[in-house]
Amino acid sequence: MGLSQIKNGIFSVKPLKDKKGEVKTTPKPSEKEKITYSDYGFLQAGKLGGTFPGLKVCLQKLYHDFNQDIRNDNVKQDELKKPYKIKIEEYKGDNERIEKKIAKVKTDYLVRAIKKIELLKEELSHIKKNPQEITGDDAGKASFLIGGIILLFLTIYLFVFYSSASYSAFFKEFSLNEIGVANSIFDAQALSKALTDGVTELTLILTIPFVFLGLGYLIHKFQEQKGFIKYIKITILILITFIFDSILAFEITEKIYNIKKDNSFQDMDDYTYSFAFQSTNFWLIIFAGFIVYLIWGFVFDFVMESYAKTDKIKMAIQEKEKQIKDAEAEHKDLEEQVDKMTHTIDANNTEISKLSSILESSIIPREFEHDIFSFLTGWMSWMKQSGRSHTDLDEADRITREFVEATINRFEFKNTN
Amino acid sequence: MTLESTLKGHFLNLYHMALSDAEVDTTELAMLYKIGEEKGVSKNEIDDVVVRPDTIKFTSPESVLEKIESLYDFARIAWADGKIDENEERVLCMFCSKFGFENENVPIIVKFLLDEAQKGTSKEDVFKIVSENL
Repeated sequence: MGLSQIKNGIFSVKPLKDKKGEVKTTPKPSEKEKITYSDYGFLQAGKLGGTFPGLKVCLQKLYHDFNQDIRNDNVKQDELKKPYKIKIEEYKGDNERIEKKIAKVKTDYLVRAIKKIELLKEELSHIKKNPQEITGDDAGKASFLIGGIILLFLTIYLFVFYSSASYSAFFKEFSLNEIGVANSIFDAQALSKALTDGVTELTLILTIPFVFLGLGYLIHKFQEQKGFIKYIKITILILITFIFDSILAFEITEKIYNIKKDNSFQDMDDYTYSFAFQSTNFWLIIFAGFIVYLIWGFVFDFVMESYAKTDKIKMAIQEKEKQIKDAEAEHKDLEEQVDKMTHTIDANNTEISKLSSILESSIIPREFEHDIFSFLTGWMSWMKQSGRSHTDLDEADRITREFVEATINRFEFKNTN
Repeated sequence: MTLESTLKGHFLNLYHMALSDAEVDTTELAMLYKIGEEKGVSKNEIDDVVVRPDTIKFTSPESVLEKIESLYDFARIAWADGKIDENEERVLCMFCSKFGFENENVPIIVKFLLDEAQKGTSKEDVFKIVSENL
C-alpha cells in the first residue's frame, strides 16, 4: 500500500467530546468500594502475566491516578504542605540570623582583628628599632660579644695560670736553674709532669682553676642580691681568694728562697711573711693571678648583664610575635566562622529550593504506601499461584520498594495523615 | 541503542498521555513501556514522567498536524531498530484512536506513517500530504 490509499478526508478527526463531561483519572467512589487494591493487584498480575515491566507500569498508573486525585484536593494538599512551608520559613529565618551574624563579624570583629594585628606588628617593629626602650641603655649584642670573647681568653689564661701555679706550689721540686720569675710561676710541662706523677695529681691541678672561677661566679651571684649584706659577702669572698692566692705565692716564693738558702755559703734566715711581702716574685704571682681573677669577675658580671639585656629584648620580641600569632589565629578563626556560616546559608538555600520544588508538585500522603503494598500483596498472590520462584517474588518486592522510595520517601517529611 | 533526545522527548510525551488516559488498558501501557525500554529510554527517565511530571513539560497535541507529528515520531521510534513488531503497530493504532481519527481510517494512517518513516520522508512532506487530505 502506498500513497494511493490516502484519500481526501482520511486524516479528519472526530468532533471533540465535551470536556466537562469527560471523566479523567479519578476512579469513581463506587469502583473503589467494589474492589480492593489487593484484588486489583491480583487481577492485573493475571492480565499482564505477572511480568516485571507489567508491575512497574501498574505501579506508575496507580501513582499517577492517586496523584491526580490528591492534586485536586486543595484542603488536603494545604494540610500536607504546611510542614514544608513552616520548614522553609525556619530556614529563611535561620538565614536572616546568620546573615546578620556574618555582617557583624565582617564589619566589626574582623576589622578589629586586622587592626590588632597591624598594631602589634608596628609595636614589634618599634622594639626592633628601639631596643634601648626595653633595656634602658644602648648596650647591645656587640657589648655582649666583645665581653664574651674577653671572658673566654681570660678564662683560658686563668686556667693555665692556676693549674701551673698550683703545680709549682704543691708538687714541683725546684732546682737552682729554675728559680727565675717565669720558671717559678709557670711550668710549660705542668700537665704532662702531673700526669707522670699520677692521675690524682693531674686531676687536682686541672680542677683547682675552677675554684677561682667558682669564687668569681659567686661574686656575680651575690651582686644580684639586694641589700647591704651582699657587699660583706663579696668582700669576704675577695679576701678568701686573696688569702688563697697569697698562700700559693708564699709557697712558691718560699721554695725558691729555700733553694737559694740551701746553696748559699752564708747563713740565711728562715723564710717569713715579711720576706714574702718584700719579694717581687710574691707580688708578681699575686698580680698575675689575683688581679686577673678580679678582672675576670668584673668582665663576667658585665657579660651576664649584657646577656640579660639581649635576652630581655629577645623575650619582648618573642612575646610580641606570640601575640601577633594569636591575633592572626583569631582572625583566621573568624574567617572560618564566616565560611562556615556562608556554607550553612548555601545548604539552607539548597533545602529551601528542594522543599519549594516539593511544594510545586503535589504531595503524596503516607496512605498511598499502604495501597501500593496491598496491590503488591495481590500481585504476589497471583505469582505464587502461578508457581513463580522466590527470586521472582523478591524481585517484585524490590521493584515495589524502589518505586515507593522514589515516589513517597523522596519527601523529607513523612506524612502520617 | 540510543534514541536521539528529541524522539526520546516525544516518546515520554506519548507515555505521559497514555498514563493520563483514564481508559488506557494496562496491557497497552506495558507494551509502550517495553517499546521505550527496547529503544533505549532508561527506566529512570520513564519513572520521572510519573514521579516528577512537574519538571518535564508535556504537551497534548491539539491540531491534526500536531497529532500526526506525534504519531510520525512514534513511527520513527518504532523503526529505530530497523524492524517493526506487532506491539509497535498496535500502540500506534491505539494512539490514532485516542487522537480521534476515524476507526476505519486508523489502519491506513498507521500504514502510511510507518511506510513514510521507513523511507525517511521529512516531516514537512508528511505534513504536506496530510494537509492535502484533511
